[in-house]
Amino acid sequence: MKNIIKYIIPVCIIFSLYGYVNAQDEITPERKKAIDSLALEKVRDLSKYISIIGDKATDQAEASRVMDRAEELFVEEAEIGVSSMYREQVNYYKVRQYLMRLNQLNYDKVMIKWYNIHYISDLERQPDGKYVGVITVYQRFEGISDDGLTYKDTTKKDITIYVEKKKTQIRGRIIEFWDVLLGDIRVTETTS
Amino acid sequence: MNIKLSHLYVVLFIFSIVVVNGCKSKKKVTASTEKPPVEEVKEVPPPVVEEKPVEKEPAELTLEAQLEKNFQAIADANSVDYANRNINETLKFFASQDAPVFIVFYRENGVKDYDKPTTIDKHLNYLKDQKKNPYKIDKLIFNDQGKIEEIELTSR
Repeated sequence: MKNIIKYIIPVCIIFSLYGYVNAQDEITPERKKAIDSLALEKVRDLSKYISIIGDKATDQAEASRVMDRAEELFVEEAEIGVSSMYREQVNYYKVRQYLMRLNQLNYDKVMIKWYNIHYISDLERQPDGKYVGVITVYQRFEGISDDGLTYKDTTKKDITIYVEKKKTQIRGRIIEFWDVLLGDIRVTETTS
Repeated sequence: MNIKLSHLYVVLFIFSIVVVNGCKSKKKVTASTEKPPVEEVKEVPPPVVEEKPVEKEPAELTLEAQLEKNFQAIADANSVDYANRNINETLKFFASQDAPVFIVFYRENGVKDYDKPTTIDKHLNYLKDQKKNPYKIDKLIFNDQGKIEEIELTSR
């Protein structure tokens, strides 16, 4: 009997501690909803940055600054897929490389619009504490050359989202914040 | 006759006193009418001015209102140049263009959830790029020179 108690008590303590730690990490549905919205907003922000960078009317210095802001939205080493109606293969580029190619597209007018931005996989907590989800967007692209030729396509893209609670020190104060970062952007469909 | 003469002297004496006094009193009246109105105002007790620190509060509110106005003008700007001019004007209120900006996107039981902190320069450019102003000012922290060294925003 003494032996049973000897083993049961530490096991109970370990389970209670595990439960306590988990409860600390749990977030309420309302907070989760707010984090979901924050991540969606980051994707909408990227959408706007991409249309500014692609726009031929954008000043080069401005485009460069916006590229910096867009790049900050991604995890390091993230890649973005590029498809075409003229080929089967999807090419992948590092974020900065993708943005620079977008800025230098050989068209006189470029219009890019993202729409129908929504979650296809909800943010789920991973064993390492990060939240991971997938947001899908549709992109309408139109490039017009000076000779009047127009290239148009619509692509469906899946964007991996990573959300993590982090800490930083600013002016001597520790601030806890939710870091929302975008991962790879995979092209899943290309239509005219 | 002697008595009558003495009566006459008395009457003359009284008359002369009355005349002299009359002139004096007339001079007084004249003098009082010639007094500048300022002197009369001096007699009114000065109004009590309360030195309250409240005076600083409306000033801060005005600055906050001015900042809100500038933020909206940047978001609504029709051209990059106009937005940039507004950004430069707005930056003058801050201790540095790297002044931290904290954005609260959710509150629960007094606990604030923050987005990744940014700087005022980046935030103002964000308003310009995104053409939206989704946050309102929640808190301003000033340095000794009266410049903003920290700002906290919250979702509208």
